[in-house]
Amino acid sequence: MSTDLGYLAAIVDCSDDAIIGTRLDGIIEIWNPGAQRLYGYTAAEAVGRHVALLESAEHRGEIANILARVAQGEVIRHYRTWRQRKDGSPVDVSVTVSPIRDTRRRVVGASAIARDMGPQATLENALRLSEERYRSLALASTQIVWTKDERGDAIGDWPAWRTFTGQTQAEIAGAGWRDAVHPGDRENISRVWAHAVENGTVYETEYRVRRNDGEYRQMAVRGVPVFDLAGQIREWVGSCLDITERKRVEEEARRSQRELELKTRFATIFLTLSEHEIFAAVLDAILQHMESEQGIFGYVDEQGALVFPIWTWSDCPVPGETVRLPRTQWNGLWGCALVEKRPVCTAGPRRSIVTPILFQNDVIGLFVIAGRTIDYTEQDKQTLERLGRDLAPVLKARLQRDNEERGRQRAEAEVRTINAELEKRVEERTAQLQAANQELEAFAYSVSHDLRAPLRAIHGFSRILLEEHAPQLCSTAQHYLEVVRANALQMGELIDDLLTFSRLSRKPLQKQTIAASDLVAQALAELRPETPARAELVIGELPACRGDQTLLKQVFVNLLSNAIKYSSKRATPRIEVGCLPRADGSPTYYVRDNGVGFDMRYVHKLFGVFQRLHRAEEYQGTGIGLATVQRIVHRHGGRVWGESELDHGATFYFTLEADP
Amino acid sequence: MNDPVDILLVEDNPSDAELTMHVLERHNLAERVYVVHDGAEALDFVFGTGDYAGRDAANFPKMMLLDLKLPKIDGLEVLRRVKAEPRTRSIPVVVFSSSWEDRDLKAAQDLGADKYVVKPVDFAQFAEAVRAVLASGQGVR
Repeated sequence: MSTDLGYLAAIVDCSDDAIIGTRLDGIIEIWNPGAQRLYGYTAAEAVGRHVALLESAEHRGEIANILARVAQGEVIRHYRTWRQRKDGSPVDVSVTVSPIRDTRRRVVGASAIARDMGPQATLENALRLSEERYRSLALASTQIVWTKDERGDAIGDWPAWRTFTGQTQAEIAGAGWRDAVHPGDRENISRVWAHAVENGTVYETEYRVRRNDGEYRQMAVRGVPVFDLAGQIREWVGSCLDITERKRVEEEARRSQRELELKTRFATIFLTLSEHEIFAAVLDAILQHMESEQGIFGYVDEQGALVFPIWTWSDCPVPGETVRLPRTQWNGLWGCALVEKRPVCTAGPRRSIVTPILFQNDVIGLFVIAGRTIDYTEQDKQTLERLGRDLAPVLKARLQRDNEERGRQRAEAEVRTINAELEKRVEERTAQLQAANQELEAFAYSVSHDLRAPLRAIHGFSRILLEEHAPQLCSTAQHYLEVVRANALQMGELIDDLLTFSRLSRKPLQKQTIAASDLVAQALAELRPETPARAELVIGELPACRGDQTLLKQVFVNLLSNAIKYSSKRATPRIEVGCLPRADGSPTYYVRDNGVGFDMRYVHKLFGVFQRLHRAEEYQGTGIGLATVQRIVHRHGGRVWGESELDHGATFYFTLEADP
Repeated sequence: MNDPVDILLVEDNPSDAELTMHVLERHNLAERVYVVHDGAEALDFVFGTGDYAGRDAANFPKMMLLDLKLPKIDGLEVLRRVKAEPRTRSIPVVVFSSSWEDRDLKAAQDLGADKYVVKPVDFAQFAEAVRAVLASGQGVR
């Protein structure tokens, strides 16, 4: 419910009625200025409290009952009851309560529109007063008193009639008075008169009389027979009373009542219906109110075009449900109404009224009604103008909300398009990488089988020569054969290392939590044969990490192997494994030795494949160990680096991806 | 052709074949070695088909030394067919490969290879391994 608060606020703030929005549990969430006027509580005082706050002692429990019915989807219309104001005084209200639904049509709250019956009561009072006045006037001297004979002809002088109508006494004489009566009412008078004469009963009717200023006034007429001693009707006495004002008040009351009902209906429509339903429902309400058959109701969109979401103009079929009229096509009657910002009315068989809806002097919509059996009047035009004024702020709020919604949807669609493109690119790139990987794998497989075959022959046959044919060979030839064999062996190792390196790069990471100390222990056990007995091994505290067990063991094997190798010529080789204090939560492991170290000038070459900083005669190796370490660490999202000073040992650090 | 054969060596590389034969000779194991040069020939030999149609098919070798990368039919397929056939299933097969690739090792094991040896090997150790397999009596008599 709260997502629509801004929009609802616009609806409720501009309403004269009290509008209250509550949750199903009765807690007030919306409280408009009308509610404050009616009940005396400010929004700050009312929102958050239970709506039973408004119940008077004698209507206790009534609201809970209403909420229960609304929760079932029921609409309670024009429920007349008494509520209690903040100051404790009772207030006579008519309440319409509707369910508020969320987008999935579930009832989530209730909207109550309460109308103060006070003003209504004033109208009723006016009517009552008018009637009382009528009765009292019947006795007053200003009464238009008349006397007629049994034929209905005037007898004597009618001074009040003369004054009222401006007729002379001569003009009144006989049936002359009837000239002042509206021609349309004369026949009726004769009929009623005949009936009264025949039955000797009270003569009572209404007709219009032309006043001296030319205006026809509505008169209530009452006459009684005067009998002679023989029981025969001698003459009739009666009186006329101008009830035009009373009729007007009555009509005004009815109109006011109907318009209030229509406003309530609008508020209910905008509060409770979804976007598609609103236009049809509002139009329906207007057509019903104006007793018209056909109509259209549209709004002006962001591009300034007039849009009709629904179209009920039966003799003008259009394709689709929505009609758009760009500003350039604003001509004819509608164009006139839109451009001149006033209702335009036509008469005759195709009679219609076109009413623009204005918000702060901008045209934001338009409705047209047509198809009534009688011509539209100036009063109808005024009524529609009033309806347009009532609708304008609510429609404006609704359109703004819908615009924002469309903007949001556009932005979302853009994001979706961009994402789709990205995904497509990632897919293409992944496919390329997979293809490259497969090629590499095939290449490595081929290398491992085919490259080694000739090496085996070189190595095997030189060995046979050396072992079985040594007597026939001079010592130089034997030495050369030894060199051939050693080189074949070396090349075999290079191929093996290269294949291992390639395999480690391609193998999918299988991450798990690993005790780093276990990895170090395993690595040292593997390196036992090449570790001098005199070497001092210092293993610090090593926190657990997350990574691929096989690959991370390889990292420790390679780093420790280097440390052992390059410190092997020390009197007391010292190798230390540890972890730096965790600054950012990611452990930094290190392997340190007191060996020959390396020149920091060449540090950039350390991690390259087949890069060696020492001559092969001094230290064995293919120059692939650190490249492998770097490859594995990078695949874990970590970083590896080395620090050293020539002849003062070296330290290699590495980090792994921090725990998620 | 109908002489009993103790060892069937399946090897396409002549250098490897010669080296292997040399080692077997040095250890007095070569007398009853027969060399074939591709997978198809190996299967023909074992099952007495094709060029070996006249061979006594009941007279199986006591063991096979099988290279993996072979022309025509590769070593793993030869292994699969030999191990799938009830008559030949019990012939010990030593896979003799130049590859340390995990997938080759695993495939050979899954198909029932009795031993997996990576070339080059220590001559003496290799000869000892062959002798041990022959002596284990697993071969078909």
